Amino acid sequence: MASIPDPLRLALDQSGLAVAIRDGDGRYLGGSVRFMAWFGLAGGTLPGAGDADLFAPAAAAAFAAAAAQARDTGQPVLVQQALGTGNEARTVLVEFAPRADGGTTMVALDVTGQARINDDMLESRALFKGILDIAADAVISVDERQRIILFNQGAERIFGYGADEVVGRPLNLLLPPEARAGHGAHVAQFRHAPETARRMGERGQICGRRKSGEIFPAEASISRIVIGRRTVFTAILRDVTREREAEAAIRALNEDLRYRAAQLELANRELEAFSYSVSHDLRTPLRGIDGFSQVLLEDYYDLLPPAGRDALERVRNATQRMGQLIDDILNLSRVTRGDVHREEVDLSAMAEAVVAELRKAEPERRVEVVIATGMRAEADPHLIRVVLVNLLGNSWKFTAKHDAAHIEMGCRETAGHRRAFYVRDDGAGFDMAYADKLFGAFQRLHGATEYPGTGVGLATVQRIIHKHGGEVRAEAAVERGATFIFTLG
Amino acid sequence: MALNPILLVEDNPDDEALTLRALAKNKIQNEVVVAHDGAEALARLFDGGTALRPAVVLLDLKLPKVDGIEVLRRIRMAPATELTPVVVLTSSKEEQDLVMSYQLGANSYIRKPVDFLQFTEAVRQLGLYWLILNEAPPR
Repeated sequence: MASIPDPLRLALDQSGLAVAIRDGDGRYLGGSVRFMAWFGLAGGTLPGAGDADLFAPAAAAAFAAAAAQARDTGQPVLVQQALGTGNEARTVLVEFAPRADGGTTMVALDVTGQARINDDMLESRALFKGILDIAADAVISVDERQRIILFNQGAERIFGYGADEVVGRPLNLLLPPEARAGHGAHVAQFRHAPETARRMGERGQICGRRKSGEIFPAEASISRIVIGRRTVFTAILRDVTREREAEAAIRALNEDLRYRAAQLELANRELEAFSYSVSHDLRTPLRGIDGFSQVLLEDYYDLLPPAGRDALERVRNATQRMGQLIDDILNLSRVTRGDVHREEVDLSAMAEAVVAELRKAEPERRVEVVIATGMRAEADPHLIRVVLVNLLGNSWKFTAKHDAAHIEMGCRETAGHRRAFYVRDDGAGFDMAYADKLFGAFQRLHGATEYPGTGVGLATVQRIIHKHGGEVRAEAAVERGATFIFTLG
Repeated sequence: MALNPILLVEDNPDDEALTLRALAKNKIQNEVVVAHDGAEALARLFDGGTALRPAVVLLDLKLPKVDGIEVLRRIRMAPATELTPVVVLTSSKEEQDLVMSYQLGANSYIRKPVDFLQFTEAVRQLGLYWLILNEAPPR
């Protein structure tokens, strides 16, 4: 302390500088108040003490080495040192300045702020690098001369080049030869464009070129950043080979679908022409067969033995049956071809009307029919009437051999909050083992002599129900009746 | 006064024979003139001095040369026949045929049943209606 005159020392303390002096042997001669405070030293501990007495081993070693280096080189030496903890934490830069007497003067500057900026920069650089590295897309930056200055791992994967192979080389390396001129013009235009980012390829497909020479389709955006006087262009690019392949596959599928739809349309028209011709041409000869059989029966009755008359009757029956079959097929195909025009339908009233017709045709039958009131549905009235005619007609037909028959139509809620309608009878029923055949066209579970029919009715019912988005099924047992249950979508 | 004839336009000889039989069975007295295709029907109706003025035309739709729809159209277009009753008597009950026939002014549309007894009954009714009950349009 003796070497520092008191007035100077006062000035030093008041200046707020953190200063200390040490002799050629590394012993501290004295230090300013701030030095003591920053380094956490109690007053009076400094004179005569060495680095090892005052500081933690790492700092002590660093300081001793710096002082030795300053003395040996005659040049000041800087040491950065973190001090304190918590709110008191600071980073100081200590200059060890050599003196002619062999000692050193230490001047410490608080650089906490700069150090934090440095850390932030390092951190953001690490973050940026991390993001770049995990990006699946290629991130490529070029300078004004279109030389590559950044090439991330995504770019390495997509293009097949290592960053070290392309950084510093022209971007053209990554472009198909025919695209180079256009790309250059585009970048030149973008350089002066008002927007700083844009999607590329709006005027057509853009492509990249891999190291292997393979050209691939890409989607890319480009941005422009001006840093001081430099302009950096960064492109983010995605290899869309798979997407394009998938799109091509979808296009091909659509094409195929259109073709099939056209074929179907054609088939439908042919079917229409066919059913027209069935309706007309197939019936005409039947009329001849039936008509002339009747002529024989009328005009030559006396000449025919009973077996001959019976044969002619059979010819007529068979003919009329075929006429019925043709009509049923036509109705089925008409149902299949037509559209569904839904409106609110009073099913109860419709069912009553159907039953009234059945009664009128066979007034001698004793059938108790119970139809629930207030059944309504959104359905095509013509089509749903065909369903009721078939289901109620079947119940009517298949109860014919029972003296007292019961038919019931009602409605109940199903699990999925849909309404299911049912038509139940106590007639002949059928064996559930054959249930899967029930709705096939021309499938019959009863002989024609037992119960007449062509086997088209339930097929028609099923098609109508399906066209309404509904389901139909049956529950039955032989001679214990059948129940048909349907929904209307 | 002689009854006006019936013009039967029918290409199928079996149907022709059966229709004639059904008419006869129902004691319909009118002469029946048969045209075997659309062209012959038009010739019968519009050929100068021998032009027929039928009480009713029984018209099949599917005909060689000129089809029944076209025959109906010409009948309705000509002033001499525009009011003549035309009954379409055909095998088809396709909607397009029905709609077209009525649009062109057919008076009735009957689908010939396969069952000859039903057919005879249909002919009886249409004879009764068009030849007896119905008041023909004024000349």
